[in-house]
Amino acid sequence: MSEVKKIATRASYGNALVELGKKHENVVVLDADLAAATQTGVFKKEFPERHIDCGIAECNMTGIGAGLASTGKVPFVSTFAMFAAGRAFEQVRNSIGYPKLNVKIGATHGGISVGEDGATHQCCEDFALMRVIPGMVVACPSDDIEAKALVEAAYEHQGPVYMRFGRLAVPVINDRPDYKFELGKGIVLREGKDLTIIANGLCVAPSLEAAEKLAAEGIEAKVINIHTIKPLDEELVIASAKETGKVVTVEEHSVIGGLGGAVCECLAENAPVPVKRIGINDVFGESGPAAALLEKYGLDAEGIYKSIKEFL
Amino acid sequence: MFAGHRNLDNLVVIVDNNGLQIDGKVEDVCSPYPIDKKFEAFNFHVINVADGNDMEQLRAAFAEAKATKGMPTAIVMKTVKGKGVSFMENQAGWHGKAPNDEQYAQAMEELEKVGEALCQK
Repeated sequence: MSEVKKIATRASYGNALVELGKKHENVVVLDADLAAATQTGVFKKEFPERHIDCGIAECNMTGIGAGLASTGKVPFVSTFAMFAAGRAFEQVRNSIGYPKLNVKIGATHGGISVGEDGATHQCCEDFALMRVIPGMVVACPSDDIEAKALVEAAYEHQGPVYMRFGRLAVPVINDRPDYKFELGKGIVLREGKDLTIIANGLCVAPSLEAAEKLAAEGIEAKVINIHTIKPLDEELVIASAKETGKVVTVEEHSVIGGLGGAVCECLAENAPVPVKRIGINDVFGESGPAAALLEKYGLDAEGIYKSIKEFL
Repeated sequence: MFAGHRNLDNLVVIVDNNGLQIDGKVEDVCSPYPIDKKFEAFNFHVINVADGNDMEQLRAAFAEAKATKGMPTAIVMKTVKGKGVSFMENQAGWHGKAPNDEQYAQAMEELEKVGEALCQK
């Protein structure tokens, strides 16, 4: 495993913006004094005239993004998830969501894997906050390849998109010729008849590992990567629930209102089966090395495996 | 702050300062005064309009704003809330309330008179 290539999806975001900027004149990137951290700095280097640093004023930046979109630009509003979804919620809802403006929100540093910066900067509520805004697409890629595909798809999509990227370097897991990204479509990574594991973001890789541990004991898990939380791939979720009879969701987000919430809402109405939501259990994070935190909060392969064993 | 920093001279901010807010007088609730000094501090060109309900004063302010280069302009105008409708003037309670049919008829009648008087100027 030590040979696996690891890249943080925030780096993928910056690199994807540069590629997008080369292809499309109307791409503009906004940041709020975090260009080095969100990695929009690489775009700034390439296209200084199309990168606007708004200073530490995320609500204003969001409004500027809305204004630029109304003139035909495709702005990528970039900051930490905590500030994009949290601090600027009203501007995202009223200035972008309500008028259905074509603004892309690139939110980096999502989840507890932010690490040492601690609970104030570890946003585990952004899926929930963004998902309730009518018309908002909400997505969280699992690796470098998916993050780049997401940025491209977000540009092609007409309307607001919220993208969550991570600070921590994560293994590249989608490097295969038949990989295909489509907003709103889940990807089956492993077939299994005993349960379905639905994961997103950096939880996809350890979920696959957990499935292998289960397989060693004769338990076959179907593993689905749901990169798009909204619109949810209901067809796939319902079919998989019916097929396997049990569902586990895994996300670096509160168990309330995120992927687990979305899956439960869908299944309660369409195919009620027992569901276990693995995520942050309605608590704040804390400061510490990212890997140690993921282990402590049960989001590493071992933790996911144990939670599933208890559930079964 | 952003507009001042970026020298956005194609931007005009208008402050409709009628002195009232939902909970009462602005100066009693949580005073932001002096408003003009705050805009100046953020690198705005500031124009104070003594009577924001006077078209001539407004016309002059907009002309000055248009001619101002290199910085955004803030027009801070003193106005009368509900101007022209006798029972609405200077009443904070009309912030988010709709008139009933009777009040609407009276308000429109009074505003028509104001309008006629303006046209004859």
